[in-house]
Amino acid sequence: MTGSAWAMLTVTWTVVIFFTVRFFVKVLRTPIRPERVQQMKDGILEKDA
Amino acid sequence: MSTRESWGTRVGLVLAMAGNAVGLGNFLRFPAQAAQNGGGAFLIPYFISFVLMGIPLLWVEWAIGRHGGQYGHHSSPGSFDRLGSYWWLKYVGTFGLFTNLTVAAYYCYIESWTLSYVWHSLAGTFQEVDPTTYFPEYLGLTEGSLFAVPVEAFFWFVITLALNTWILSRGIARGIEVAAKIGMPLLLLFAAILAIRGLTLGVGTDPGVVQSPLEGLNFIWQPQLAGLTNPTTWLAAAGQIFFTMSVGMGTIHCYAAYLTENQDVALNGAAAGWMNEFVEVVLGSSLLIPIATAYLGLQAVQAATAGGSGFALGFLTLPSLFNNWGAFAPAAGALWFGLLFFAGVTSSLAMGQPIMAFLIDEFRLDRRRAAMIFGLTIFTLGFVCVWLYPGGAFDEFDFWTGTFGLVVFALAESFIFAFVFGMDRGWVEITRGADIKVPEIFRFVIKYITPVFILIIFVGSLIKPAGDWSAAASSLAGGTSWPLAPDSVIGRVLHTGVDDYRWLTDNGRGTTYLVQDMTRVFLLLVFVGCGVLIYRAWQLKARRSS
Repeated sequence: MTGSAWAMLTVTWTVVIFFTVRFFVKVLRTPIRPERVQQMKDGILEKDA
Repeated sequence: MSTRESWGTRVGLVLAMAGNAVGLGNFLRFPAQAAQNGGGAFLIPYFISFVLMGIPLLWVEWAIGRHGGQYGHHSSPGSFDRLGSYWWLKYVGTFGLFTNLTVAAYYCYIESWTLSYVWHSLAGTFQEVDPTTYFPEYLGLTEGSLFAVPVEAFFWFVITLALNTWILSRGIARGIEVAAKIGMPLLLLFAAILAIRGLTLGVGTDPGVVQSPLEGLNFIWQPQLAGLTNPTTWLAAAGQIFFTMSVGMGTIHCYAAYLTENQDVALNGAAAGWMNEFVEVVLGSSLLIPIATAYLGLQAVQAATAGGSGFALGFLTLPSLFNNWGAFAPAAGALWFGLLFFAGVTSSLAMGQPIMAFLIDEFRLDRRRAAMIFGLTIFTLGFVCVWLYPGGAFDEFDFWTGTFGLVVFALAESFIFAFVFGMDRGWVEITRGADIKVPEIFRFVIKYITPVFILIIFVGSLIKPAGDWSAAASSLAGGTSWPLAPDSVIGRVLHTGVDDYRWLTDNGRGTTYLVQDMTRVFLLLVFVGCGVLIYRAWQLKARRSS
């Protein structure tokens, strides 16, 4: 591979992996709002069941 | 009974949304498009389009969907009806039904090929028969007719459709979410195994390898900066972003509608969008072309991807190349087609749910009946694709619904969101409950840049020239007519480039043009039928409320 191809690949992959991991980790850290857990039963809101 | 479902977990929602976006195109279309449109330079307009059109459209669709969900609407007719007081808004949502029905029909057929090929890989079929001759026979293309009755292909289509229908009948949390939680990690695992094996192939150390797979990577990533001044490169990059995000379909509206009023859409949308980019840019570029280059050489791969699609390489060539992997060959084939299957099924489920939601919300059907109706409708529409595949019906479905239809719908929704719903209300929708700070600049981007971006893609697809844009412009300036490409929208309607356009041959047999035109009429009738269903649903709603 040429140097410019390596540079393009490295920069692009770094940006993509950085944002993918950053946002997905943030999603994992805030899995669901507490009030939703209390209201849900088998994936259906209790108030609607 | 209750029709209000909800996602079980946030991770499940994001995986389902990412699964909706991740499709076969991530592995078969992206690497070929990148390689043919400037290599590494393609990634510059690609990411500009991602930021100015992809991410904004994701947020717009998530916001429209969640807003509609608060009024009990989980499909686009209802979501759009709630964006303003105009009677016609719900009919814009016709696209959200039509596109999902018709795309699901041919997409389930492609998905069934991957499932069938998993079986055949494990059974060792491709160690005995040549995949390049097997595939046309499988589709019934060797019969020299406009019609095909490929028994095995039809069998796998029915199996695939039954699986989709069963998962959909289980609902959001127990069906779609479980499928995404199983399918997406397996897809990533399968792709990682194949990428590591493929990129470590060595000339002289592995049998059959004629060139380093890194030459294939180089083919994709070598920046050819001249491409940046070519409008074709920009249109190809914007088009790729458009189709890879699964925007303009109504699937995102539907999934987001199962959120509550204050649940985040900004972070969820960004997480799903970037996960799709990871699968496309990192994994998608590391499989097909590097592996094919290792065994066939760069020249053959360049020729095979000249049309901007890696479909032939993926289905016709790769199965036989895996035979070089010895005892690992059946597993490699199963991993490749398995990951394509998971990419496909998570997308087809997303196409099914808006139809289910429309029937449940607006016609008060229960989930099982709605799933049965979806399955039977897709069976009927899919039969047209299977039966008339040799005549070109499949391609007509793909172009008018899976390509052009998306652009029209997204164009309409971007203007409606910014100027009918209003950008002030729209911004509140996007940022309410957000777990990330959405940069203020996106307010301007969503209102002005994104609609113009889509408008350019729309006009570009209408008048795409045969050959270069600059050559076409000079031709027009020189007083000659604009040389329309046969695959432009207008070119297709007018059958540009066809010398002998007629429906019947001299001996009275139908031609492919007859099949193409009849398929277009058929699709138009399906579109009108979706509109009539919406009309009927709102009639019933008015009757119920009076």
